[in-house]
Amino acid sequence: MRPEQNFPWPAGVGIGWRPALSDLLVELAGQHRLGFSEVIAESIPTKNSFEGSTEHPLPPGVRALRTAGVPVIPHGVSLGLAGAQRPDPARLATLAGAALALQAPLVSEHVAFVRAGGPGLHSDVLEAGHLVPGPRTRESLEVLVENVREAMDALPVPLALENPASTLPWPEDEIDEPDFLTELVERTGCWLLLDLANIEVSCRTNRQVGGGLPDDAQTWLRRMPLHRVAYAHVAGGVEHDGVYLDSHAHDLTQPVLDLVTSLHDLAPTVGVLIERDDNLSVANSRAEWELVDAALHTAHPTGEQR
Amino acid sequence: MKTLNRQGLAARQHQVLSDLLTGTHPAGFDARAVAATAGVLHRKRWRRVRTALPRLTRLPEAAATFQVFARQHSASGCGHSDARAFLTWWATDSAPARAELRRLAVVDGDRALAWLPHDRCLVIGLGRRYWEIPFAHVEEAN
Repeated sequence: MRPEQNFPWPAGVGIGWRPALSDLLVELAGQHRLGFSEVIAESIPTKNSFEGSTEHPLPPGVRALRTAGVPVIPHGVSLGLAGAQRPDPARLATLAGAALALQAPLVSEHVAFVRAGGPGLHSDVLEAGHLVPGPRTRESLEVLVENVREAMDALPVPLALENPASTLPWPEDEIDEPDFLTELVERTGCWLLLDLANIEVSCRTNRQVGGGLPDDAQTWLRRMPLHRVAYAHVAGGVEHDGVYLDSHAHDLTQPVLDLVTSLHDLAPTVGVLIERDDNLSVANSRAEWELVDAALHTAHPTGEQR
Repeated sequence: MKTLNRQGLAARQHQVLSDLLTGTHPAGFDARAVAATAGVLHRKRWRRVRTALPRLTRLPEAAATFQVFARQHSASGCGHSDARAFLTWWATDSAPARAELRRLAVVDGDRALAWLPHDRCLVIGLGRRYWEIPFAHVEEAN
């Protein structure tokens, strides 16, 4: 069942919805400065969409954004599509239900695994509590492609998948990240949620472990399947024990803002959403909106319009 | 249709994730990358636990002790379950942890009273309701 009416595709500058930022987002929406928003799909209380439910108890702030005409994208964190298991039908139904409740133009998830079952039939399933990048091998790509196709079949709207923050290169990696993601979107028809902060993390990690691959984030950006980017993420990060991590709790860095400008040059219609999970404040979020907006206005678009 | 080796991938991911969670270095991985990723996993797990049970942060050495616990025990269910499992494990050595378990028993309706020495607080339960009564000064009887 598809939604009766969907909001438009994400564009402009967006901010991830958090309760502490709800009033700010409504204010920015009223000023026509909020292009779109995003909410954790698992936090949206919905009934199974296939049971034909109608009204869903959305948080008042999210409902206000919808009323103001702001697209809100449900962003799942629990599917674990890069895991070995097939996607869980109940989790897919949750994501589908969130899409219908929000009349969202698309949903998003991650190229990551979040749990791992043991080798035996009765082995414990370990929950990672984190989006762990998996190995990039021919075999893992086949499993991922099958999982993504199954997920897409179960969802009422298009699916965009976020590139991981690859802090953990696997010794068996056969395919680099841009090629892996390019083949994924081409074989499945899914979209890409391009996380620019994660590109910075992956590049820095690759440089530190001596991966022998282009370690410049700007080069990686240009190798991504930009024609299939649904929207982008930015987030702050911090160096911890010599490794750069996308903390979602610190200020945006200049290299990430430079990636925003470059992306806008290459794909001018792609919306950019600011993610922050910790050290939340209205002042911080206002400042981040200004920085990203400035980065977009610095751009000189040469890419094709979608 | 090509048969996918999901079982092999599952075993590999389980082994590596288990190593990361228990502080074991998985063979062939870069040391700094392992430390960074394992650190993220542990910090996120501690954050979930202290979000579920904010009172944990009032117990001395709770964060450091939780890291020891986490390396020996995989996460059990949600943050609340993990927090309780941690307190139960810690209670063998820690009087404040035992007191917090008594408090949770009152909250759950399994116990009528609990005294929290580290907080100087008396918790009283009645049915589904409970009250926390702080004491500014406590004098021990001789």
